[in-house]
Order: sequence, then structure tokens, then C-alpha cells
Amino acid sequence: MRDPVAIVGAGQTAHRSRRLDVSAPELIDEAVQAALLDARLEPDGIDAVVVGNMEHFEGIHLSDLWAVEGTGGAGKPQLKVATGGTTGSSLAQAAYYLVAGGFFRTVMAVGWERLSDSEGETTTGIVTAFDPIYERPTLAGAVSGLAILACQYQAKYGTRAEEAALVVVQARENAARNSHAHLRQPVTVAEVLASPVLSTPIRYLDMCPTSDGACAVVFTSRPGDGRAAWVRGVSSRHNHTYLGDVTEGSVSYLHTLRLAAEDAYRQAGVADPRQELDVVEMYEPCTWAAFEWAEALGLCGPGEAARMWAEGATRRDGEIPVNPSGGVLCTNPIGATGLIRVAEASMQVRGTAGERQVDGARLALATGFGGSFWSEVMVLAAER
Amino acid sequence: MRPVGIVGVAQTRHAERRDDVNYAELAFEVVSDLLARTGWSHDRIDTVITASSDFWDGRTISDMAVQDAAGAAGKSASKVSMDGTFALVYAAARIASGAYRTCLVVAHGKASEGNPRLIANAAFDPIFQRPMGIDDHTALGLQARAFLDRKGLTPEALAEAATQSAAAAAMNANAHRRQAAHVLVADPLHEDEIAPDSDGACAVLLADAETVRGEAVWLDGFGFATDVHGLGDRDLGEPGVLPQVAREAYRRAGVQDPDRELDVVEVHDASSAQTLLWREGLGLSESGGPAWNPSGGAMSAQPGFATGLVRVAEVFGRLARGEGKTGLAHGMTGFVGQAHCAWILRKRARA
Amino acid sequence: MDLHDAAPVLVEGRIRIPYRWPAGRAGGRFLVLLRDEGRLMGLRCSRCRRVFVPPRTRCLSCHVPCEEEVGVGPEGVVVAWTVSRRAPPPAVLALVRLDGADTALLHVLQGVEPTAVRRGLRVRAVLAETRRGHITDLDGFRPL
Repeated sequence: MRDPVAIVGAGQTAHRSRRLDVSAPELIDEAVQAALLDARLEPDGIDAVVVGNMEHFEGIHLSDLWAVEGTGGAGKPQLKVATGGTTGSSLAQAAYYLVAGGFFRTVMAVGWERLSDSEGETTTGIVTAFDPIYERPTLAGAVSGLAILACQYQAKYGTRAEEAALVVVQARENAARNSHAHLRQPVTVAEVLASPVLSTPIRYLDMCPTSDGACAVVFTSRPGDGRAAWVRGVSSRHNHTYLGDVTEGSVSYLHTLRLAAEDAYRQAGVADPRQELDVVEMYEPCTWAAFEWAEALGLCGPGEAARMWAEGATRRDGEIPVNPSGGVLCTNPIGATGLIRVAEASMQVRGTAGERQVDGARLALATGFGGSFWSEVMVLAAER
Repeated sequence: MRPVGIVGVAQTRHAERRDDVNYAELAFEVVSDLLARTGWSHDRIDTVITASSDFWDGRTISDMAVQDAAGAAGKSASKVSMDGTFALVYAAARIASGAYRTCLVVAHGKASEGNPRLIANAAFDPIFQRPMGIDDHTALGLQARAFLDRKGLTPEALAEAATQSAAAAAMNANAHRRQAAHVLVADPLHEDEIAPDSDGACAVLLADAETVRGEAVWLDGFGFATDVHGLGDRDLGEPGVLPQVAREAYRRAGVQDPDRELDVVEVHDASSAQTLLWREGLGLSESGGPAWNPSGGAMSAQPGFATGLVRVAEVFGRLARGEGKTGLAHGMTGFVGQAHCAWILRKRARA
Repeated sequence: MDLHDAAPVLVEGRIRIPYRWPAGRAGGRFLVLLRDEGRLMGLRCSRCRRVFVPPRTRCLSCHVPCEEEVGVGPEGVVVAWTVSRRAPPPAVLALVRLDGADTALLHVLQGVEPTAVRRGLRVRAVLAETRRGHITDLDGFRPL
């Protein structure tokens, strides 16, 4: 059977619109040093490194080779895993398997992105994700696919824009307690509804930002006596490529997330996620997605997510806290975002989340989303 | 390492241009070939790891299309954006963890769709190196010069290595047929001493010991590492991290005397200087020892990130046909060998 | 019409994304000194004492901060070189280890025939007349 794997350290930068004061290796170094400190490890305590970054956003091909100065990977085994929005969660999974497979004892996952390097043109970068023959000439970027999903959800359940807006209102409240988060200013439902429409029904303030930032997480099979977050479930599910194949008619939840979560819950022995999970760090690229994801994760029944938020169940002191870090809606350096979910979930379980700590958290979920609607899930527990 | 075996491999006939297919179809072609050869179907494949380059494909998350071609929809899959030999590490780890029993690895490179020199320039540090107009060919030229100077060799040594590579490539049915001239491209390298830009793909099917039965080819050990990035941060004429990588692979696989124990070696040599330099880096004597790049190496075809995986396929093929028991397949990421990966393959009854 | 007989249809496109890269703390310092004072610097590792040019904030092997600023050049020695023949005129690219540095800088050699270049050739940095905080504020290196 596989070696048990635990997270023993996490570090991240101060995520901002523009980190012009540092080069990418220097930005990465900030997160790496913070993770080493948290894990109480010296650089030579890291046996291998897995890095992630999306090359088109910074215009650097083979960016892992360039960034080795910041990752601490020079002279060490280093892999690059880059899967779009899921990059961060894919990094966590790769680091996990390298340790679980007995290849290395301690592996650091490092994700980063400097979206300001192509500022104003990030949409151009994302547009290149679409097939150049059939989809690129007409699609408008990451929002388009999400908008289609949101339209279908809204059509099915009649959810109002005010209800979706509550997701980002709560996210900002949470981010106010997270000094690493990018967007920390409070926002009101009225402000969200007054913001420009990007693609119906998604408005500007319904959508995640683009950020410059980095994150590093240490996975090991020998945690020693420090506080550890044990990986109890790991799963992902992929999907077809073209938007028409993915949405397959009416889709009001993310089926890859549902399947990945069911697999991870089974591995972790979670029978009732709503009752058993203490905190969820989900990868919600927009407010509407949070409803769809919550239902796919089995946190509530179909069409009930809006009520969950409205009743305060998802607040930090609620029954099923969602994104006490502020989530993706407040911070989004793409190559790191999915890894930040894992980092934040691990901090909750290890009790190191400071002002954003959910009291007594012992079982946490971290999700990743990206590509053509594929999903990744990791379950972390205080017990091995 | 928990045993990981190779069920089968497939590679395309590499070419200068495959205008008849887009890159996803190229991957589909090689995956279909692999399934036909092995008699397997997609539902027996638990997970998929692909190797591809967004820049080469001109598409962010270009692996989305390849996942489709590799039957990854509905499965857990991931992508390594490095040479296929590195993707093989992740694939083997997934099986070694016990979480998956079988794994498909697919790598592709379609050089003809973009401008490889411009793309290569984009791999260099944008502040200090890129503005100098450096690309893969001129970086290889710097390395070849440093190598010749260090070893006290003349350019004729490169020409001779190139001739040997070409002779081997002529016997390789999958080689990229080209007319390369003996004209200087990046001194001291001539066009026929630099590996071509190819369109091609490769697929390898891995499985655990319960699935692979009887005598088979096993992945017995690996090593990989990444060196410093700046061209001036190290002596390009030295083998870099390759000796350390080779030692790690030999250690994990229990190889003590590579000259004697290895029957066949395939390396990714992007230039004729690398043909000689990587041999030194692997700790092999200058002559004798294992069959060296019998396919012609990368000089026979260089389909981007598929190049190293093709080396694995070539070694597998020879061992499977009984041309030896132990082989080494090498891949790299970064034109002058900033990152290296080495795999030891052995044919044996499962332990 | 048979799918397999058709001539290939090729669709052309281009990815046009402008970029703006921060040089960072170390790189920024190097470029500012070059622009404003016309001189070159490196950073020294506090443990192994190696001087990095271009400068890095952390030693590549020791992983400790490099904080000591060291003046390097303007002369140095060619450690490796090549001639780019893609388009005329041939251009000589070289790795130059500036005096005082332990790593080499990539740049162009001017005013020298390709046949005259060799490892160990001593060269001197040439400053551009107008400088803007870019590595091309160095107008290449010339043999002494």
C-alpha cells in the first residue's frame, strides 16, 4: 500500500495586482523561504521540487528552467506540471504521488504566476487556450464557459443575481483577515450588481481577479513531531475539450467535481461531507460557480446552495465554512491558485491559519478547477 | 521502487511536416497504434500523463486536446510540460503509489506549426539573455565550442559523430528524412550536426506487476535533475547534472559497471557535440561498451518533448526483441541540457 | 470527396501578447547602475564567496542571500563563443567572464573577425551612447 503522506509546511507571498519590485525567481523565493520556515527545514531537506506556471501569461517558455533560481531546485530533481487553472492542485497531486510512490521522502510543490507581466492582455493569454480553428475566433476568454454554466444554473433554479453576489461579499469579509490575499476591501451586493456585465449573468465583481503571487507546500512521508495535515484522499477527473462536448446540453453542476469528490470521499472514509468536513477551500472562479461546486461536492442538495450562503452556513463561524481565506474570488495567481487552496486547507487542519482559523478544524477539503471543466480534489486530516 | 513494467510502445514516423493532422490527431494516431499493438482498450487504462509544450502548440493548456485524444475524459490525468522521460517519472510514481494499476504516457511535438527558433529564444531569461537574440542553435554552438576547447578536439570530431548518427538514422524506419547540408549554422556547428525540428509523437503504456506477467521489460531505476539556468552560470562544455543523474539511475537500478552491464543506450543529442558529451556524462568509455544510439538518436528525429520518450521506445523495442537485457534511455529539457533524465530498462521475469 | 484525399487546410494565426518583465531587485540594481553610472556590478554569496553576474539575490548552490555588491569589469575574458549564421552579417555571440566575476555574461562581440575569436580572448565592455536601463546599454564587447 502507498506510504502515508503529510503536509508539514506552507508559504505564500503577499499576492497583489502587480509585484513589480521582484523578478519571478525573487517572488518564488519569498514563498519558498516561508514554506521552509514553516516546515522547519533547511533547503537540503527538500529532496525534489514540483513547479507549475502557465507560460503564455509571462511569455517565458520552459519557465521552470528559468525559475530554478527561486525554487531552490538547482541541482535537484525538478518536475514541471502545468495544467491551466488546476496547475496548483495538479502540483499538489504530483508532489503527493512522488512521495506516496516512495520515490522521494520530502517534495516541495511550488506554483506561481505573474499576470501583470501581460497586464491588460491576460484575456489574450487565456484565449489561446481555445482551439484556434473552431473556438478561438469567437470566444471571449475564461468567462465565456463559466457564463454558459451560470446561465444554465440560473435557468434551472431561478437564482437571482443578488444571491450570487453574496458569495463575493462573504469572500471579501474573509479576506480581510488574510494578509496574503489580494482583494481585501469589503464589497456590497449593490456594488456587485452595479459592476459591468462581463458575460451574462457574470458581472465584473462576480469574477475572480488576476494576481501576481507564489505559493509553496511541503509534502513528506516523515513529518516528525510537528503538526501535520495528512492527505487522506486524492482524486481528479478530466473532461472532453470542446465546450459543446463538455456542456452536453443542460449542465447545472460540475460533474467532474462530483465524481472526483466521491472518489476522494471514499478514500478518506467520508460518508456525509456536510456533517464531517470542518472547512472547504474550493476553487471558485466566479460567484455562480460556488453554488454549482457546493452542490457537486454534496454540501447541499440541488438548487439549495444559494440558501446555504444566505443563511450564513458558509461563514467562518458557520456550519460548513467555505473559503475562510477569501478564496479565488479574492486571490488568483493562476499557477499558484490551486496550490493556495491546498495550503490554506492544510493550515486549517494544522491549526496555523491565524485570524482566519476555523476553530477545531480537523478535516478539510481543497478543490481545483480549470482546463475544460476538469476538477481536482484533496482531503486533508489532522489524523493519519 | 514498486515494480513498474512496460506493456507496449508506439511512435509515429517522424517528419518535417505533418500537415495532414493537427497535434491532437497526431497524438490520437500514436495512441491508436499503441492500443492496436497491445490489444488493449481505453477502459483498461486507469490514468493518463501527457507531455507537451504550450509554446510549441501555440495554445495555453494545449494538453486539453491531447487528453481527449488519449482517452482521458472521465479519468484522472495530468500533464508534465517537460520531455516525455520526465512525464514517465510521474507516471511511474502513480503506479508505484498503488493508486493506479495502469498508466498511458503520451508525448508529442509538432515543430512545423510554429517557429522553433523564435520559440527557443523565448526560453531564455528575458532581462539579460533574450535581447541578445540567442536561440537553441546558437546556444548549442556555444556549448559545442566550449566542449571542443575543453577536450582539445577539432571540429572534425563533430563531423565524424554526425556521420555515425546519420548512418544509424538511415536504418531507422521512423527517422525524419531530411537533406542536411554541411554548412555552418552556429559555429562550430554545421546544419548536419544539429538535430532536426520534427513533427512526431510517442506513447508508452505502463502497468503494475500484477498486470504485466511473465518476462517483460521493466523500469528499474531513474534519475533526474535540473541545473542552473544562465548560460554563463556553468561550463557548457561539461556534462552538467548528467553524471549525477546517471549515478542516481544506476544506484536505483543496481547498475555498477555501465560499460559492461548496459547493452543499449539511447540519448537525446541535440547536436553532435552532445552525442559525445552525454556519453561522457553517463560514465561510459569513449569506445566499446553498449550499442550507442542505434536509432540515430535525436539526429534521426527531434519531435519536441516526444524525443526522450522515443528513446525509451527504442530501448524497449530492442530489449523486447532480445537485443540485450539492460538499456538506458535519456531525455532532456532545455536545449543545452539544463535538465536531464535517465531511465534504466531491464528485460527479466518479474521479481 | 474522400477525407483522406483532401489537400491539407492550413489556418494561419499569431499570438500577439506584449510583455513587461520586472528585472527584480538584483537585476534592477544592475541595470540602474549601468544606465546612470556606466558601470557593472555583481553580488557575492556570503558563504562560498562567488560573485554572480548578472547578480542574483540568492546563491545558486548555497541557498543563502547574496548581499555584498562587487564592482566587476569593464574588462573580461571570453569563455565560449559562437557565430550566428542565420542572416548576414554573421554575429558573434559570446559568454564573457568579467574581471571579478565567477559567472559569465552573454553578449555580442563587436569589431572582431570570427576567425580571430578564441577562448581566453580579453575584451572590454563598450557603453552605448544613450542608455535606458537595458542590457543593450552595453554595446557589446571589443577585443583589447
